[in-house]
Amino acid sequence: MTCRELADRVGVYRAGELPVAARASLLFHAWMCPCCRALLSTYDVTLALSVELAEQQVPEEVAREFDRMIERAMAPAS
Amino acid sequence: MALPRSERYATGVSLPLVQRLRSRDRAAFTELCHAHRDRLYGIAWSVTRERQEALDILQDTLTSAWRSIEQLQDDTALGAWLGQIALNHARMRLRSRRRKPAEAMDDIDAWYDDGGHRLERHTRWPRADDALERARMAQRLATLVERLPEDARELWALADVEQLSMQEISAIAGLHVANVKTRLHRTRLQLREWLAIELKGAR
Ligand SMILES: [Zn+2]
Repeated sequence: MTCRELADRVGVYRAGELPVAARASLLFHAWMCPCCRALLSTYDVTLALSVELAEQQVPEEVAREFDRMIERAMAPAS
Repeated sequence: MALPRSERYATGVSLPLVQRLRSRDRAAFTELCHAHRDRLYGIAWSVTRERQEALDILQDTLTSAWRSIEQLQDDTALGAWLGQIALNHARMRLRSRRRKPAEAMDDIDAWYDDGGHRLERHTRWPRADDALERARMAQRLATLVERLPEDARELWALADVEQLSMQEISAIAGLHVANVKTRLHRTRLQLREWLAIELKGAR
């Protein structure tokens, strides 16, 4: 496996969907190649940082505004 | 009260709710709003990254759903259908917002020589266990995402920020799962690359 091929397979590998043989050659390549070891770890960091960009829950003021919106929508039409 | 993330994305819904919506039952609408609030807000927020805009999208989505519930073909696909509506509203708002034009994504082959070897030496990233450094890196990433073409940014937001399953994204975005995976991976490699360049330049 080349560095280029490894880059193509990182996503599938991390999703746990890489077949055993391809997985073995990926791990062997990474063991030999510092660049690809760095790619694997920084790919993971990039994913972990993305998760941190989520809002963990709907903010309080948004929830309140949302409730008011439903109330307005439910009010009988005048 | 927010539901745990694992429960926020349940798309299945009992048939009676949809039937009640079709018969213009207002209580059913309230129920729909509460049941899908967190999930739809998550979709809207991750794509637009603005609270007020996400709230507006949430409102537009639910209003559209109420008005056009007859268009829902498969009652069990309510969650995916709502997600599609939310994504459409998010797209319209992103387009009307003045954004910098997207940058072209790199040709990945250009990162490698003819033998498939990586051309550039890797550099160490700051230790990601330092909370402050991590927050800074996350902020950098948020800025880099603005450079992405719209569709790439969308898939990244739904998958890597909102953590929707590939099946859900496929249903919402109208793409095959394999296509979602390929495009998403391409985007992740690009973001990683831009982030690496930024981090190198920052030292
Ligand atoms: Zn390599």
